[in-house]
Amino acid sequence: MIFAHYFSSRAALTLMALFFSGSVLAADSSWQLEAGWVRAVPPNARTTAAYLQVLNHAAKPLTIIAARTSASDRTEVHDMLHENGLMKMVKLERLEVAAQSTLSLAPGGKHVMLMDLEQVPQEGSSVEVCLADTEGLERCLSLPVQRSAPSAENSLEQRHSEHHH
Amino acid sequence: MWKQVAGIVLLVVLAAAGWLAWQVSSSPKVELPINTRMGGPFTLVNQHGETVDQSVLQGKVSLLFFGFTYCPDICPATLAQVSYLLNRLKPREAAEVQGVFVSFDPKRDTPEHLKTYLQFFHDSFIGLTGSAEQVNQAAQQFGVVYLLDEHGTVSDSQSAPEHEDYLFSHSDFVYLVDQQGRVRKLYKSDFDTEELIRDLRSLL
Repeated sequence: MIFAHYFSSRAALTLMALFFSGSVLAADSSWQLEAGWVRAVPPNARTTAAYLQVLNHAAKPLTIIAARTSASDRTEVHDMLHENGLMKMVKLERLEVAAQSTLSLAPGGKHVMLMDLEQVPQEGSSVEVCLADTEGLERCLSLPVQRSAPSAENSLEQRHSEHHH
Repeated sequence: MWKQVAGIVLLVVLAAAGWLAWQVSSSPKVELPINTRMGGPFTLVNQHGETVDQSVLQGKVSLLFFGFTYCPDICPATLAQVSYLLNRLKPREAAEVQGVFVSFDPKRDTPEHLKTYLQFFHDSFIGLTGSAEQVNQAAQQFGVVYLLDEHGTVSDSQSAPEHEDYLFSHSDFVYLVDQQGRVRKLYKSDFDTEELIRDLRSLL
């Protein structure tokens, strides 16, 4: 029963750790995700895109190497290149965010591509998008599914990529 | 006497002002040049499975563009922006305008697929597809370039498996086509809505 006692105190400790982990994570503000959306697409679409901002507060560059979403089994990060007058989508293996910079994933540029959709996310619902860095730190954000960018008035798509803050 | 002179001068000045005002107000709207190198005969299949030719671009002002529905970013963004523009028009104007989306991915974009896909954006959209040859011929008429990316393993999209996730590199112009089927102006896919509405109205 010493073991049981040991176990329960371990459990208590784990619970304590879980209880505090939220605030611990929040305190670790080296980087975060912000202000995003997922494009609402027709019911028979097989792909869609997620857009958001990656804020790197750290004094060192951030490298994102993985992406996943709650809506698809296959998620990749893609970039849109303008090459010889053509729009070309390329898969990115890593996403670099300079020290103390914000990287915007936005229409016409870098975006999270949700592939092999069996069911498209419904307009008005939300999709959780998670990015992970080289140290295994993962950040998730729940994004609304909508037809156009939240700030959209008439120019739906702003094409900016990176700016400092 | 000097009163009469002043009266005549005043009349002349008023007449000149009136003439100027009339000139300004009645000056023709921006006359868009006619692009004679683009457009021409083509045969395609619409979203209802009916064979159509270039006359599908006649009778209304068309916003024509090429793409594929597997595309996650640019194509739905352009479709959304064009439907936004169509909704901005007055009903009387909108009745004279149509969006025309041509798929260069006929293997995956069948007429039925295009029908469901385009309905989501706007009722007025016409979706066109066809055989690989037909699509290629129509694309050439408008100088549209599309290349299957090495991401996909097949070089001929006609023989590509149904659900393979191949992508295309492609030009992304939106063509403003007048009621006679003539190309009047090209826009990048992230066009300025106000500019396009202004140009479009000059054709109505």
